[in-house]
Parts: sequence; structure tokens; C-alpha cells
Amino acid sequence: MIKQSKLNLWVQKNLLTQNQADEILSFERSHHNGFLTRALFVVAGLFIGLGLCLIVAANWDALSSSAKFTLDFGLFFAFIFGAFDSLTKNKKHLADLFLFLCFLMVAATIGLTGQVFHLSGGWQRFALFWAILSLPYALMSRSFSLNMVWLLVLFSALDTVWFEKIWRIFANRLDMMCVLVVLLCLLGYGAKRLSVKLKKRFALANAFHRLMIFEAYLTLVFIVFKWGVASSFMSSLNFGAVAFIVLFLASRMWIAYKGQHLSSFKTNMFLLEAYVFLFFAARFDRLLESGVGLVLCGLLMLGAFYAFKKFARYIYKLEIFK
Amino acid sequence: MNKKILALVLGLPCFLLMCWVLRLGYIQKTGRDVVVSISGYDPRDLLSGRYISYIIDWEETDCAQFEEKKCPNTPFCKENRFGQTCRFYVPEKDAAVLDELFALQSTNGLRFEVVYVVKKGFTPIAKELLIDGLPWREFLKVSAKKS
Repeated sequence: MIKQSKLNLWVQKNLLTQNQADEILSFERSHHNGFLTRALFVVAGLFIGLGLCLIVAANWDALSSSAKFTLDFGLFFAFIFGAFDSLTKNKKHLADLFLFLCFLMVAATIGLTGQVFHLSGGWQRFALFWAILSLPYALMSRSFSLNMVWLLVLFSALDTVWFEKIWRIFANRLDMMCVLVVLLCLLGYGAKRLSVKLKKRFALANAFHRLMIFEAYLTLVFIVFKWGVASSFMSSLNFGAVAFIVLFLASRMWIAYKGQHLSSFKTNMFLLEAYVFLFFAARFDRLLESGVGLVLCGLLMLGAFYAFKKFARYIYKLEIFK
Repeated sequence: MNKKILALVLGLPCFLLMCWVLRLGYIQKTGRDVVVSISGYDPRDLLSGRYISYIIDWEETDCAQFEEKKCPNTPFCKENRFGQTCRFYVPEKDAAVLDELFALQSTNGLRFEVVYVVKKGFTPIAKELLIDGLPWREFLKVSAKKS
């Protein structure tokens, strides 16, 4: 909440008129719930929730199956009602909390049903069922975390055996890995465009975008260690890998530059620097075997440090990042 | 969004889960009981403390209790990454004792069976674990009295 003393100061400095200051103060007072009240609600809610969980857990074996299901669905209905009420009253944070609880309740109910009816089947079936049933909650929620967790649950449901088979085909071929990185980026870019088109109403598209880009970087790390830092000699394969890594990071920097995303630009610049360092570090063992090599190493380190410093200064001076 | 549609979207997963539970309950209530022999299986599962992991031993099972006096071809348990293993959930306090009895099945000579509820067109549901013909809770009580 804005302090009255601060408003008085702004009035004195002619930044605000007295009327505006009064209006701001009355608006802040009408929209301000005391921190203590909110904290009390949260702590009381936690105590009640934790207490109920402990009571149920302590008597879990003594409860009949129907009592367990009554409790489970009762809680589920309460969370659904909470989500419905907060969505209709436009309380976004509360709605996200209830939607996350509903998302967890789907998993809890599947688990409970599996336990009561002694159902078999591995994680994949459980995760797929969970992801399908909880899709409405992920779509309704604007929480990035919930949507990311939902995506991870969905992807974990895909058969790992098939994943391994596909990975084995891809993993030994640099061209296929490069295609995979580009494909993941394109998917991520498509999701980003969709997210913008839908006016960021669905956080799922944004979460998908981030996950695809993260997977692209993970694949890039694989390329770095499998082909990109080969220390013995530079084959055409190594050269291809190095070219792809540098091109990929440079293009990410260019996109960040165009979109004026300083954090993305800095991250990619740091990765490029780290890669260049790693590339030379992988060859240090051979250089360190001779006196000339040692001198070269030292000069190389100094030169790299100087170049990076200059480059960083130049970047920070650019108008778009001010 | 329309309030009715919103309520429908939010309530749909819960409704579907309820239908699933009711369907399973219906099979359990109306199906026919069959008893199948089971043998141990190396669970390699982090949660194995809370359930017994087993495979059905069709050679030791009386197939006369099934239709056409033949053991069914359709699997009783869903496939997972370790093959077709089945689970029987037990309370945490009894899990260790049962797990030990089950693991030492070959030395203690105990006969383990599971009562399944079968209904045409539905996957069978495990209902009760029998040890030497007794429900497992009863067996534990009897063996506790003896000792």
C-alpha cells in the first residue's frame, strides 16, 4: 500500500495534485486487504487442511472403501466449487490455486480407485489417464506451472520403449539431431505464435513453447558433447557440429535482438561464450604438452577475456537494451 | 464464459471418474467369483511395500471354474513395463509381514490365491487374497493366535 507520507511528498514536488493524492489514497484503502488478515486466512487454511489430512491418514486403514470415496469426491467437489466461484468472480490467483488442487485430485482419485479395486498397470497408464482427465483444469488455468506440470505428466505417459527406439536412431546421426533441434524450435515457435494469437488466454501454449525450446537446448548439449568438442582432430563431422552449434546460438541471439529480449540475448551469449571456452579447453591437454602451446594457451585466454569484455560492453551500450 | 458451460467443464473430469468407480463397483457386485493361484514376482518397484506384486499361475489354477471349463486367454492384469504383473494392495502395517510370507512361499509351503470377480466383456477385478484358503486378514489372526 502506498504511504500517505510518500503521497504528500509527491504533492509537494508537484508530481500530483492534492485531489489525485486523495483519490489514490481512497482507492488503495478500498482495495487493500490487510496483510495480517490474509496471512491469518492462509495459516488457518493450512492448519485445517493439514489436520484433516492427518486425521484421514491416521485412520486410513480403518475407513471403508465407500467412506474413502465419499471423502475423496467430497473434497473434489469442494475444490471444483472453489474454482467455479473464483473464476466467476474473476479472482485469478484463487482460481489458479483451486484448479491446481482439482488437477491433483484427479491423480488422487485415480490412485485411490486403483488401490481399492487392486488395479494393475504402470505409470504410463496412470499418467495418460491423469493427463486426459485433467486437461480442462490445465486449459482453464492461467498458471504456467500447472500447465508445465500437465505437459510433463503427458510426456511421461508416452511409452519409454518407443522413445528409446527413436532416440537410438537419432542419437548416432548428427544430421538427424540437427533436424530434431530445428523441429523442436519450430514447434516451440508455432506454440508461441498460437499463444500470441489467443491473447495469452491459454498458458498451455506458452508452456509448450518453453518446453520445446528447453528440449532443443538439451539436444544441443548432447551434440556439444558427442561431436562439438572432439579433441583429437577436426573431421568434417566435428566441423558440421561446431558450425551448427554456433549458428543455432547466434540465430537465437538474433531473434532475441529483434524481439528486444535482453534476458534471452544474455543467456544465449553466455552459452556461446561457454561453448567457445569448452571447445578450446578440450584441446588444452595437447597444447599444455609444449612450451609454445603454454604460451598460446595464455594468449588465447587473455584474448578471449578481452574480446568478451569488449563485446559485452558493446552489447550493453546498444540502444534497444537500455 | 457461460456459467453453465464453465460448471460442465469443471465438473466433467469428476463425473467421468465417478462413472469409472461406479462401473468397477458394479462389476465387483454383480460378477462371478473365481479363484486363481498366484506366484511371486520380483517387483523392482519403489512402491512395492504397499502392495503384493504377483503373476497368475495358470498351471496351478482350477480351470473348471471358468466358462467352457477352459482358462481364459484374455489377460487379467494390464501390461506394464515389467510385463503382465498384477497388484494386490494391502494396508501399510501388514505389508511387511505379507511381503515376507509371499517371498518365502517356496519354503513355508503356503498356498497363495486371489479371488477375482469376472463378468463377460469386462476386465476381471481382484477382490480378495487367500492364504491357504483363508482371507489374508483371517489367516494373520489365526497365525497370531497360534504363535
